[in-house]
Amino acid sequence: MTEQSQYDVIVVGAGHNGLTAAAYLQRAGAKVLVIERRHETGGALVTEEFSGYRFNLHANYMLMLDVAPPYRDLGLEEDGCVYIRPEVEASLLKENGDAITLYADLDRSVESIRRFSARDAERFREIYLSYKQIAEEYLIPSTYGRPVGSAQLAATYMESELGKRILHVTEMTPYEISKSWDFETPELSALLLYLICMWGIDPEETNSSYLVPLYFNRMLNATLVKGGSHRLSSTLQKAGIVAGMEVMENHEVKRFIVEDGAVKGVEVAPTGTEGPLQRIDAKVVVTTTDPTTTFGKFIPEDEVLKRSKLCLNTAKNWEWEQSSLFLCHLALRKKPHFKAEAKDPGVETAFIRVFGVETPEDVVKHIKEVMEGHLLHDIGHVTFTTDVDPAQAPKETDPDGAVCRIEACVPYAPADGDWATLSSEYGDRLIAKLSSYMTDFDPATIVRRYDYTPVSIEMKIPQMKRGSFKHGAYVMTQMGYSRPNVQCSSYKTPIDNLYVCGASTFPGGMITFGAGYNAAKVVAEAMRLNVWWKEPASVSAAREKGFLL
Amino acid sequence: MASPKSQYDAIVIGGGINGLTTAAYLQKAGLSTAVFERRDESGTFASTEEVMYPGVKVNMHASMLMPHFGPAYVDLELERFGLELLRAPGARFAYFHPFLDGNAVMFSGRDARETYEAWKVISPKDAETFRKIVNFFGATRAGMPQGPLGGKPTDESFLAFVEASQYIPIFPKDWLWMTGVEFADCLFENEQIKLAILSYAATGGVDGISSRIAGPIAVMTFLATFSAEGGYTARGGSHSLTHALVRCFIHYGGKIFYNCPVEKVIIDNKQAKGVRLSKLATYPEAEFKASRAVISDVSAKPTFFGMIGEEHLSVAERVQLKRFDYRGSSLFTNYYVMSERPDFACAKKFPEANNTFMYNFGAESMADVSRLIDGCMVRNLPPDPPVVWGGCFNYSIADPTQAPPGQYTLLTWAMVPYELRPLGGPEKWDDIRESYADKVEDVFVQYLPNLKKAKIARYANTPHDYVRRNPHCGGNMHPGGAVTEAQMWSWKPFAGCNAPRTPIDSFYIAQSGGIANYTTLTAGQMAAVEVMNGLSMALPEWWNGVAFQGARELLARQGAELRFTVD
Repeated sequence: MTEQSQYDVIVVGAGHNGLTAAAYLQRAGAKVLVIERRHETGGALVTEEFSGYRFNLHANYMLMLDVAPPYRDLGLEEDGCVYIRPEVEASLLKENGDAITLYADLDRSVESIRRFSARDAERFREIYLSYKQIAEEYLIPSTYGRPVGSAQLAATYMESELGKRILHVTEMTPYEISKSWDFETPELSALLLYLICMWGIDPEETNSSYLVPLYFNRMLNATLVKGGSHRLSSTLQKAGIVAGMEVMENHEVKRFIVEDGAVKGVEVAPTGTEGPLQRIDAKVVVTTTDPTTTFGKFIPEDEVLKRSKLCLNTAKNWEWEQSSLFLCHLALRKKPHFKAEAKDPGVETAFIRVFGVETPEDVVKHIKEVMEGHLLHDIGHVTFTTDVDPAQAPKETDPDGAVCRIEACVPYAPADGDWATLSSEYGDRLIAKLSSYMTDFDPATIVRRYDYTPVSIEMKIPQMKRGSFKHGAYVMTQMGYSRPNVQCSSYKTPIDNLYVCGASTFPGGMITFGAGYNAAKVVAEAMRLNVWWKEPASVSAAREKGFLL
Repeated sequence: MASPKSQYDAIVIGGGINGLTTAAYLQKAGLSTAVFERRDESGTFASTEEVMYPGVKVNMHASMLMPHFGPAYVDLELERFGLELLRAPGARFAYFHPFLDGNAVMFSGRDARETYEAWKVISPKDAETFRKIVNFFGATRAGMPQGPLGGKPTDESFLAFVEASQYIPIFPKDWLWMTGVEFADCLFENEQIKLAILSYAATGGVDGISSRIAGPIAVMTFLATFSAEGGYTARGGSHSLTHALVRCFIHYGGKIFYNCPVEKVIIDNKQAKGVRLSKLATYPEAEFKASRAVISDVSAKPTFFGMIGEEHLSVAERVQLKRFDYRGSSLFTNYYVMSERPDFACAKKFPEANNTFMYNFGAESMADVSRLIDGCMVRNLPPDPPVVWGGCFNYSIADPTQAPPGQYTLLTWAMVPYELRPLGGPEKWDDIRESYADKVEDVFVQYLPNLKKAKIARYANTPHDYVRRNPHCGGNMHPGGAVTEAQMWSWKPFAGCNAPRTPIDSFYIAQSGGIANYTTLTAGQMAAVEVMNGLSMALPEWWNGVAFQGARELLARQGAELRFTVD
């Protein structure tokens, strides 16, 4: 229920980007209302408790939390939202009972690789450091600023040694990049390529290749939110609420009120119902919805056309991702062990254990099959969140309890059936495959199981249509300066008073906070609010080099 | 890691709805207050999770919301902080108990005359008895117990109540010394009416209806007061109540620590000074000081034996606390999503059943009640076939946002024992979760035939699943312990405790008093009042809400009024 029907800013969608934008703007002096269709805020940051076992149903691996400006600006750590960085980040499990393991600490990774190849160990160190520099000086900072046009960016690249290295990477496909590493241990290349491509990056396209150094660096520094992913969004929400921000849950926006080419507010109704409709006015509306919803549903076509043919085109031709995710969440009374622990103790607690692939070609073939709609192989990775944060299982009643998350890249519309029937079958297959790498998995120890399919994703978060968990494919026409299109990638839209900031805008999906953070600044400047936060030095430095606006 | 502020005026252990209520009152009154919660979320038993499939809100425990009956609803501005209580549009009845012969005993939502008329169809004599009872209470308002809504229960108020109880017309003179079952048996003649009244009262627990004092008071309370309006749901589910309390608390500057189980209350010279967290906490083993009060929203045994420690208790206190009882009834849940609006068999004769939020079923004779009590209180085995008497709810008729469009959610709560000793212990619930759920369902379809074809999915939750979520409830459906004559009123959690105060200076317990707490928030409110009294602080001007004020305002907005009497 809203106290008033006139706000400075309405934010549509309480995912991490919406909450971030809202909290910055409320603290900048605006009166902000966040409207959320679910009963909980947080979007993809969702933790549900099954018999005392906490399942992070969607987002789990935090790639950017440690470097995201909102984490510091909004005092999330001071407020008790902390992350844990696992010592052991990733293992690839081999059929022969061995494994290769990478650590958060570079030296330990190098030592681990040395078990297979001294040459690869040194190569890995070189590549790691090179990508680290690209990530820290360019890719991470440019997440937290407005994107530069691609022609201008290409020219900028040519001006520096770092830029030329980036350009070199962007000219190859992820698979070609993996070959350029020139490792003699195929499992090492396979593990890294898997970690990079598991978020729907096509290993045979150059579209997203610039992300390779970022994902390489970030996957080996991935963290887990203590207590569960939802703690992060709850803390974000609180950062806004203490400043006076209001939240309206269980209501969905039916349409934007557009008068004279300008958005004046929104009309909402209880979620899933046609009414009663309630009008809420605002000076500015910031929406985290995808372009098909923003320009194709919330605003009448003729109103969009009056201002921008491009936005209507974007709404009509928006491309969804070609692959999605399948998750099988398990609550286990007793944690099983892996055969490979005997040879490689790191496997015991590795944050991500990849199974079913041993060469980069396996990864490429699997993703190609998935993109073509097939589920031929049982390939995926598994995380026991309780290895990192034991409190996510009910220790008082189940002292050996564990939370297990099996995750796989899958098609939204499988050629061989629909998810309603495939869900438990594919979950069974993954469990069976995984247990072949284990010594003592006992199905009788399963207290709860929850299969989360691409259809579940779409039902939970309608912006993730077709299970498109990044709110839209990473194709050339929807990347960087073109995300969602060249008129909107700086968050302001051609419709007056309307701004966009979801994962369908720059820099895209994943829990980066980039879109919400960047949009907050654009809106604050446009509304002449107090930009109370200070940009990180690394972002200013990248801007000076011309990497971002 | 940045270290948080470690000094507060007041510290509340446990972020359940009562802990949050205490905390919000104190913070709003100007005391800097921190809440320590072991989970990653507030409101362990007032929670809503999507454990089935997306869009289906599952209220994991509390479902019959009645915060508007207590003072906190107005004092803590829960509507302002987003709470929207809902009931089915046009609903006239609050509760019904259907029978296989097509009958249903219905309790009116708002008008005692409607209950009277509905009962007359079944038993004119019992309808007449009902009329006399409600007319007595409705007309005089006298002799009402110091129940959960009436302020702090004291030894004196109990004695006064015992005295007054002898002069209630129709009631036998010694009615307080009967069990709830005996009392219902002697008031009414018709078995269906007896069963309906007992089943409604049994939402306070089998432990309650089979006890003296607690049992007859529960029967009387349901007859005379709660039946007047019944419970509500909240827009978006029960967790919305928690959200509103959290937002009120943090709006006034309160601080909640999540993932922070408390290991010990720091006691110095018989006075509580703060808390020390457990090793698993976000701030492992950190100490936080409270200069004025520490309040526990955790039940008696883990509070006194766990966090306080036996060394701080007298022998008499230890003896009483050792006996503290969690036995009785626990809840076995079947949660359903249907593709059609639930259509009860009894609706042929009593159409309003389909628009009624709460119901129970499965007892057809008093012998079934004996079976239920035997299973829960004596043999520690779930009744077979089940008696589904924990309170069942038809959510979607009140709030369509709790399910995807065109779908309906409902829940059945079967009362069962927790320990399952004859089967080998509570973890055996995992083995029989689905088979017992089937048994409950077999009973249910007899009363709700369209469940069979319209069922989309089911989610079963056992008593052990509840304990995994909330170990301090000890297996009882009421997180504050069993509701029996041995632990209620001023002698809960033990005689001489003077709860919400305790023998430890500056230490209070919110899980106290009355009969059962439900969602009236009065246990938390009473604890806050006691803290203010203990500090000799005058209550601020806004702190003046009285019982039922919120309900009256809500009714006024709906253009409805309550009628407690039958002319």
